[in-house]
Amino acid sequence: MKINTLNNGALLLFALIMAGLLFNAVFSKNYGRSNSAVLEAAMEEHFFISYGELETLLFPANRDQNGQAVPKGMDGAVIVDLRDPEAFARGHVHGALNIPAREVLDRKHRKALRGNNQKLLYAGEEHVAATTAMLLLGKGVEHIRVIPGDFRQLDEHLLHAGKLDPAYRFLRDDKARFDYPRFMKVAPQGPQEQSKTPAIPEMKVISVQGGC
Amino acid sequence: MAPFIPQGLINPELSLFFALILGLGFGYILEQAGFSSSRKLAGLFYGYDFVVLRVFFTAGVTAMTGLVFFSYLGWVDMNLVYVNPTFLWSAIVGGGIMGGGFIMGGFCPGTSLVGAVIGKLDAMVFIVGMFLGIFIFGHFYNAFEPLYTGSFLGNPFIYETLGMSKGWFALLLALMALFAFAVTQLIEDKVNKTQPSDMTKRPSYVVPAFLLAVSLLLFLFLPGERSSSYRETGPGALLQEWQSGSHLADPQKVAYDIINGNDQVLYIDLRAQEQYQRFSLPGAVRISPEEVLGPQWRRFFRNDPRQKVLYGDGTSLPARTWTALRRQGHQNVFVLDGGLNGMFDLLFMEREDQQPHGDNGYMNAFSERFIREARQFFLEGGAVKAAESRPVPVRTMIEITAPDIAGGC
Repeated sequence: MKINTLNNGALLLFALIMAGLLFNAVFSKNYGRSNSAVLEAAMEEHFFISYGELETLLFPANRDQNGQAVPKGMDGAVIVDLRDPEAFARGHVHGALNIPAREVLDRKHRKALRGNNQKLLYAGEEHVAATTAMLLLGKGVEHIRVIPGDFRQLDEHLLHAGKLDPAYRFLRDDKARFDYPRFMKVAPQGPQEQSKTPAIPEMKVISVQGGC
Repeated sequence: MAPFIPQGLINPELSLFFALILGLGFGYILEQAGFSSSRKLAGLFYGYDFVVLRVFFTAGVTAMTGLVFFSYLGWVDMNLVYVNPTFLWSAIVGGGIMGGGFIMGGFCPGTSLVGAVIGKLDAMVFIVGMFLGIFIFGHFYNAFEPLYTGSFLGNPFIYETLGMSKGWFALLLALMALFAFAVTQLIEDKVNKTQPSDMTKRPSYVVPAFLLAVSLLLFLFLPGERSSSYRETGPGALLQEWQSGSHLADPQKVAYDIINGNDQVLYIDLRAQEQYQRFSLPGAVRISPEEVLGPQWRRFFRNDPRQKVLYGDGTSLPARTWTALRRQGHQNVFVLDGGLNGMFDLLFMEREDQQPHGDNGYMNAFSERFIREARQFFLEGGAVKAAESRPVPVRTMIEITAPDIAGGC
C-alpha cells in the first residue's frame, strides 16, 4: 500500500470520528443520563416510596411506638411538592419544599435538588410526580423517588389522621380498581385469539449469522 | 443505525447480493496485499516477510477503532453484531491445525481462494485438501463432536475477561500493534540483510500511528455511555409538552373510536401478560414497558402512522413509558387519561353529582347521552363485534433477535 493511501485513509477515519464527536457534543440534548437508564430506574419498585416508609419518616412518634428505625438512606430526605403555590398554600406535607412541576428545570431550583440526600416528589397526580422524576433523573439529579398516589390520597390516608391506614400501605395509581371483563366484553387476547383481530398480523424474525 | 440488515435498513432478501459485493472487495484487498503468494504468506514463519502480520493487525486495529467510536456515537448497535462463540478445545486444536497447514501449504482458507482465482496450482491443491478435511470432519462428526463443542465459554470479550475497560484494552492493543510493527521490521531487516541506505528510503508511518494513538487516548476521556443524542426531544420541550396535556387521550374519545372501529388508532397495553390476556381494549397489542426502547420496537414507533395510545390500569405507568418514548423522539404517542380505571369509572359508574346544565349544559347533556349509549354498547358485547369488524392491516413487523451461534471463517 502506498504511504499516501494509508495516511489519507487514517486521516479520513480520524476526521470522521472527530466530526461525529463534535456533532454529538453540539447537537445532543442537554441530558445527564441516558434514556434507557432513566426508564430502567423508573420501572424499578424502588422508584416509589411506600406509605409505610413515608410514615416512619414523617411521624417519628409512630416510628418509636412501633419500634421502627428511619428507613435506610432517608436521613436528611427532602420532600418536594410539585403543585402550584396556590395548592401548596391550601395544604402540604410538613416541611415540604414547593417547586412547581413547570419550574423544575429552572436554574433557581438547581441548588435545592443537588446533593446526595433523597428527594421525595409528590404532586396533584402520581403521573405528574413520576414524569417529573424521570425528567430530573435524565438531567442527572440523583436519589429521586416518588410518593405514590395524589396529594388528596396522601392527605386522606396518612397526613390527616397522623397515622397510616394499613389498607393503603402499598397504594399505587397502577392498580386495577375494576374487574374489567364484567363491564366490557371483549375477545380475550391470547396467542390464538390474537390472530382474529391482529394489529400486527405478521412477525418476521431475522437473525444474523456470519463471521470473518 | 448499523448493522443495516438486522435494523431493516437493507432488505434482508438482498443480503446475498451484498455478501457478494463485500466478498469481491475482501478478495481484491487480499490479492492487492500480496496474499495470493504462498511465499509471502509463509514468510511470516521464516522471518523474511511480515506483511501478513502488518495487514491483519492494521485491519483489526482500524476495525476496532471504528467500532469503538461508532458504537459510542450510536451508529452501530453492538448488540446486533455477531461475535464468534468460544469453544475452548476446538479453538486450540483448530488453531494448531490451521497454523500447521499455513506453514506447510503457505495459505489459509481465504487466501487459498485468492491464489486459486489467479491460477496458482498450489492454492488449488490446498483447496482440494481443505474440502477433503471438511468431508472427513462431516463424515465423522459424531466422533469429533465432544471436541468440537467442548468447553463452551459463551461470547466473552477479552477486555471483560481481563477485567479492563474497553477503552484501555483498545489503546493497549493498538500500542501492541505498533510495537509489533517495529520489532518485526527489525527482524525482517536482519533476516533479509537490508542495507542501511535502503532503510532510510522507507516511508514514515508516523502520521497513521499518531492519529490512532490520539483517537484511542481520547476515547479514554469520554463518558462510558452517551447520555443523549441529537434525535432526542430536549428536556425543556418535553416538559412543555406534558405540561400542556396534549399527550393525554380523552377516555370518551377512546370509547368513541372503539365503538366506531377507528383503525387509525392502535392501543398499546403496558400491563403484565396475564392481565392483557384476561382483558385488553379491542385490537390492543401488548408491549412490555421495559422493552419499548429496544431495537425491536424502534422502527414500529418511528414508522407506524397510526396514533398509538398507551394504557395501563392508571396513568402513571403509561406516562412514564410515554416520557421515555417521547424523549427518544417518537411522535404520535398518547396516554389514556386515567388509564382503564379512569375510563371504566367514567363509563360505568353512576354519578350522583351530575354537572348542572349551565353554560355548558348542551355539551354536558350530549356527553351524558354518549356515556349512557357507550355503556349499553359495551355491556352488550359491542366491543367484540367492533373488534371483529376492524379491517386487518397488511403489515409486516420485523423482530430482530440476537444472532444464533453459527458461522465463522
